[in-house]
Amino acid sequence: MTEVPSETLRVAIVGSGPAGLFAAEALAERAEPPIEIEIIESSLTPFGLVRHGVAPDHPAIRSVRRRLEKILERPNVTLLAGVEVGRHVTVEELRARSHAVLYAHGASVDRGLGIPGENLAGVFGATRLVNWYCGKPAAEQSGIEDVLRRATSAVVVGAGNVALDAVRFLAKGRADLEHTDVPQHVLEERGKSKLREVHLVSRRGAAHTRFSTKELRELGELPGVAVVVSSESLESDQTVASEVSATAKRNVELLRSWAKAPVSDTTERRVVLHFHESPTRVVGEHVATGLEVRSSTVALDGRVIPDGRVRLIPADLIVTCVGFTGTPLPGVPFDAEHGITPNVEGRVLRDGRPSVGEYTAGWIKRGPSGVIGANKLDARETVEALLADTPELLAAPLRSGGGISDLIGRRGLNSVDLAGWTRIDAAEIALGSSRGRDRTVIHEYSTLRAVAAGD
Amino acid sequence: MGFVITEACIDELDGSCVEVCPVDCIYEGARARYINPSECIDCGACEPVCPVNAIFQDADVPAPQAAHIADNAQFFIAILQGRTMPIGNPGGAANVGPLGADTPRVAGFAGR
Repeated sequence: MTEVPSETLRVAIVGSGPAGLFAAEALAERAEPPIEIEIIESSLTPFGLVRHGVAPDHPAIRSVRRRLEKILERPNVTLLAGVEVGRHVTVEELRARSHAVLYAHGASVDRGLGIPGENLAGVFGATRLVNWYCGKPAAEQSGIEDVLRRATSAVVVGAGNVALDAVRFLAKGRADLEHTDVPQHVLEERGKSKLREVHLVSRRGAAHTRFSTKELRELGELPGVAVVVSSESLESDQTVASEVSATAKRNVELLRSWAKAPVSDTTERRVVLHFHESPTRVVGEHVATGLEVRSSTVALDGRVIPDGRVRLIPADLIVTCVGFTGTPLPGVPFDAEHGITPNVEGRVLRDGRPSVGEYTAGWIKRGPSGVIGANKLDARETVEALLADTPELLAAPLRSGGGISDLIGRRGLNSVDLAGWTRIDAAEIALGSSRGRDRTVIHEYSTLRAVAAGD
Repeated sequence: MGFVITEACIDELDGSCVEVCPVDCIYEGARARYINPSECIDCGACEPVCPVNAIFQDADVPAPQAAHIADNAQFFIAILQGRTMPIGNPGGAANVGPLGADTPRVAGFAGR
C-alpha cells in the first residue's frame, strides 16, 4: 500500500445529525487548510434525530433540516448514508484514510427503569415509539403497532420533554396528525386507536421536572383532551418552585391553573398527570396490564424517596422516557458509566491520553442532553481542538488518498449521497401532496433505497 | 412567532444566544440583539444561555416587557434609521453582520 502525503486535511465524521453536521460546517467554512469532509451515516437518510426524533407535530423545529441541508451542499462535504461503521467499514479503515475521525453518532438508546416486569410485552422505551412514528425503517418490528391498536390506557414514565412528546402523540387522534409528516401507516394506525386515558408518571415533583413551559403548555391545547392533575400533588412544589428556576415557577403555575379548572366529562380522551409517584413494578403475565407506583417525597438534596402508599395504574401500554445512553462504536473507547466517548474538549482519550486524530461531538461526547442548537457550540469546541492539531494531523501520511468514498465504491456498496437524499425529499413531498399533505415520510427501507438510486 | 429578546439585552449584547442558535436568526443591532420571528424555529436553545435572562418565549414575556414582542418584529419590518429598506428575512445573521441600528424603542432607551 502506498502512503500518500497530503496538503488537504481529510476528515471523516460518523453521524449526520446536528452535531456531525455543525462540526462539518465549522470545518468546511475555514479557508485554510483545504479540507475534505466525508460524513458516514448508518441510516439511509441524513439528519439523525431531526428526522427520527423531533416530534412530527413540531414542524418548525423539524424545519431546521433545511438549514442542515445547506451544510451538505458545501462542495467539500460528501454524504455517505447507508454505511454502518463496524459493519461496512471499520474504525481502523476510517483512520487509515482520514487525518481525523470525528465521532458524532449520538446517544439515543433508552435507559431502563430497573424495576421488575419491565421486559413484559407492552413496555417500550421512548425510542421504540418515537422511531416508529417518525418513520425510521423497521421500527414496526418492535411490535408496537399491535399494542397501540389494543391499548385503552397508556402510562408514560418520565419528567422531560421526550415524555411530553409521547403523551401528546398518544393523546392525539388521526385528524390532529393529518397535517404532520408522519408516514401514512402511522396516520392509519392512529385512526384505529382505542386509547382513552394517557397517564404521565413522574418520580419528581412538578417543580423539579425538566419540562419546558412551551411544551407543557401544548398539553392544555390538545383538542378533545382534558388534562387532569390534583392540587394536592402540586402543594409542596408551589413553595419551592420560585427557588428552583423561572421555568419551574411558570410550570407549576400552569399546572395549578389546570388543577383548578373543572374537568369536562365530554372529552374523548383524558391526560392524567401524576407527580411524586415512583414506578415500582410492571404488573401482568406475559403482557403488561398496569404499572404499580409508590408515592414519594423529595429530600432536601433532591433525592427521590418512595415512602407512601402503593397503587396500581391500569395500562396495556407503558412507555418509558427516563433518558438515553450512548452505545459503543466497535474500536472506539467507551465510558460505560456515563454512556459517552471519553474525551477532553472533544479530543478522544485512549488509555487516558488524547488520541491523535480522534475527536467527538454531540450527545456521544457530553451525554444526552441539550436541544439541537446546543450541538452547534459543542461541535465548535471540538473543531477548534481538531484545527489546533492540524500540523500534527497532516504530518501523518494517509494509507490511501481516495478517502472513504473510494473504499465504499470498491466494496460495491451503494451509499446515499446528497443527490440521493434530494430524490427522497422530492418523493416524500410528492407522496404527501397526493393525499393533500405537505409531506409524508417514507419508512420502507427498500423504497428509500430505490428512490435514492433514482429507480 | 417564537422567542423574543427583551430589555435586559440593551447595551449588554453578550452574544451567547448567537452561538447556540441553529438557524442563525438572532441579529445584532447597535444596542441590542433581535430575534427574527419569521426565521425562529421555536427550539428554545437561546433562552437558557442568556446571562441576563433577556430571552423568553413570546407567551412567557413578563407583562412590563410585552412591548418587546412587537418590537423584535419591527426591527425586521420597519425601515430603521440610516437605512433605505427593511432588513426583512436575510436567512442568517452571518449574512449581514452587525446592523448598526436599533428600533426607536431600543435606541431611545434611557437606562435602568
